[in-house]
Amino acid sequence: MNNWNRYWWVETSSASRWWLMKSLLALLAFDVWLELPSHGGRYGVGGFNVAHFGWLDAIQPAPTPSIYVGTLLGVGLCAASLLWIRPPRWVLALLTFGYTWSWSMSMLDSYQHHYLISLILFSLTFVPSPTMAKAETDSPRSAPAYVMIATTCAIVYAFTAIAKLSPDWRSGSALRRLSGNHEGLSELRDAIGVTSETFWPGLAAATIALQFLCALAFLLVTQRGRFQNRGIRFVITGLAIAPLSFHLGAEWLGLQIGWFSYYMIAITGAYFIPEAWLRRPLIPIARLARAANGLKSELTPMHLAVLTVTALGTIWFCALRVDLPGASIAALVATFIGLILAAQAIRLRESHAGALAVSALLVASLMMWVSIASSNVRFDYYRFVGGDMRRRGQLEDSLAAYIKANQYAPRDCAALHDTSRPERNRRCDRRREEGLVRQQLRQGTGQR
Amino acid sequence: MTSDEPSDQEECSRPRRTQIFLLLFLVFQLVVPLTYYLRDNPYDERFAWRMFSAVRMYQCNVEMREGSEDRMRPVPLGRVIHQAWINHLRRNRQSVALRLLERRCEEQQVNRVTIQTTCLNADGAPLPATHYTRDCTSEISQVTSGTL
Repeated sequence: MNNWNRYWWVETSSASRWWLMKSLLALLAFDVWLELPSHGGRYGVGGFNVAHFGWLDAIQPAPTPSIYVGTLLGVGLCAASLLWIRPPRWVLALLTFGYTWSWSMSMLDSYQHHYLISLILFSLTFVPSPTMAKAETDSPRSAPAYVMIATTCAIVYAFTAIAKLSPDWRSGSALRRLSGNHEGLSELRDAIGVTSETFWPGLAAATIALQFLCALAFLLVTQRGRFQNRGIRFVITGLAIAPLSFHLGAEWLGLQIGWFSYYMIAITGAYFIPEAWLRRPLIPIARLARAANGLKSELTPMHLAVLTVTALGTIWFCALRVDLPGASIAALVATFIGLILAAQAIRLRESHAGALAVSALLVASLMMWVSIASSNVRFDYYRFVGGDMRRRGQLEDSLAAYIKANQYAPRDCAALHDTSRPERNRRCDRRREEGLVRQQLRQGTGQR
Repeated sequence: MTSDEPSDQEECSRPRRTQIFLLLFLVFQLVVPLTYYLRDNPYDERFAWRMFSAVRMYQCNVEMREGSEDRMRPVPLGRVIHQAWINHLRRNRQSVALRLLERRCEEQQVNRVTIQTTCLNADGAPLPATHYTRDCTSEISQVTSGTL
């Protein structure tokens, strides 16, 4: 076996693969439910759109809030369902397609890490995933796609470091602007006792070095098991400090990068945490899964049919309760997947597997409803729509959006005149905005 | 549910196909960001893994005008497109600017549309302005860089 093959066909731990898959799917589900839909109102405004790829504009329908948010909710349902079962490869492929389309349909979604997640999801489709019941006992096996995910991360870090080799980054001015003169960094500079002229270029150089170290860490981590020397294995594990410090630092600085840091921290955990530690929490999960397997013989196709109807009813109930555009598109996708899985199970006479799959969809739809209902995503969605409509002179639509936003206003908006929290007041004061729009509407009517 | 375990025969034939696939996917991941460094448009950093780059720190102003050759009037961008697209123009995204020119040409009494972006780098030094122009009659768009 040559070095090329030795690099890709290395033994990989089932626990690491399991954690990698499940943590990414969980993050993805909550990311697309809680973080991204709030800006969905931008899609289709003024009938203007530019997709990430020119050819996509030619073949896709013009993106609208319903299409964008619906795709996101569907992707989330799909990802959350796969948390509870061993992911069928075709569903992972569908998830990759749906997610990739969600960001590529418009340059309005320009987070670079969304492209990274698409690459990772694509590789994840080929990663052998252990079943829940065997998650902690499966023996290691080669998984080139698992190695590819780490390699992808290494490529990303290396290019990110290269991008920072330009003179205005090395001078520290870009970093200074990026951090917005963060107070903590000023304190750090004072603690070290250096001038700004030394501090910023020094910090820039350290950041570049750290990112190259992150790249090296991800290239080495999958090869860790090949080293006989425990010291070397220990050092490679210790390299986790590089990506962890980089992403925790980014969060500390408050950089607006969505959930990028959380994804990278989850990936770092799955690859770098020693196998024994990753296995331990899987023991109770596997025990539960084995107990569920015990019900196998008692499930008939009739049980499966009843469960499927219940699951589909729950999906539609939750989708309607979500009260965001496109929720019915997501429910439709979930219904389609649920019916295929149920039909496949009946055909293969595996009622148990079908029951698990539709139960997973049922739980996923409840997760979607509860997480969206307990977050501010709807409040943000409707207030952003209201603000945009007001700016563009569509006052009646703006008023309707503000009224809806106020239905979902966070509870802590009740006391609006807390002067110690001006930031919250600005965000919460939608009633004032609503009043302004009403006033503008009245004036407009009077003038007419 | 799925039986993903390969048979022995599949296991033997897989490495060759998998090797080629891995190689192609790896080359793809390396080539896509590298193309950024071969282009003469530094502003479009998509797919190049240039998060938090110095270019991202550039600050640009954008101005759009339309009308006929002898009478050009400013366009209130906020009335025409969503603020998020204006932010893209402020990042000097060529594809957005060119599409917007096309779009404005569909309006009546518009024969010519121009967008000008002027940027400062991270140090606050001015960069050459970018001019996007579209002649609505000939349907030809031009992008030029430098001060007029």
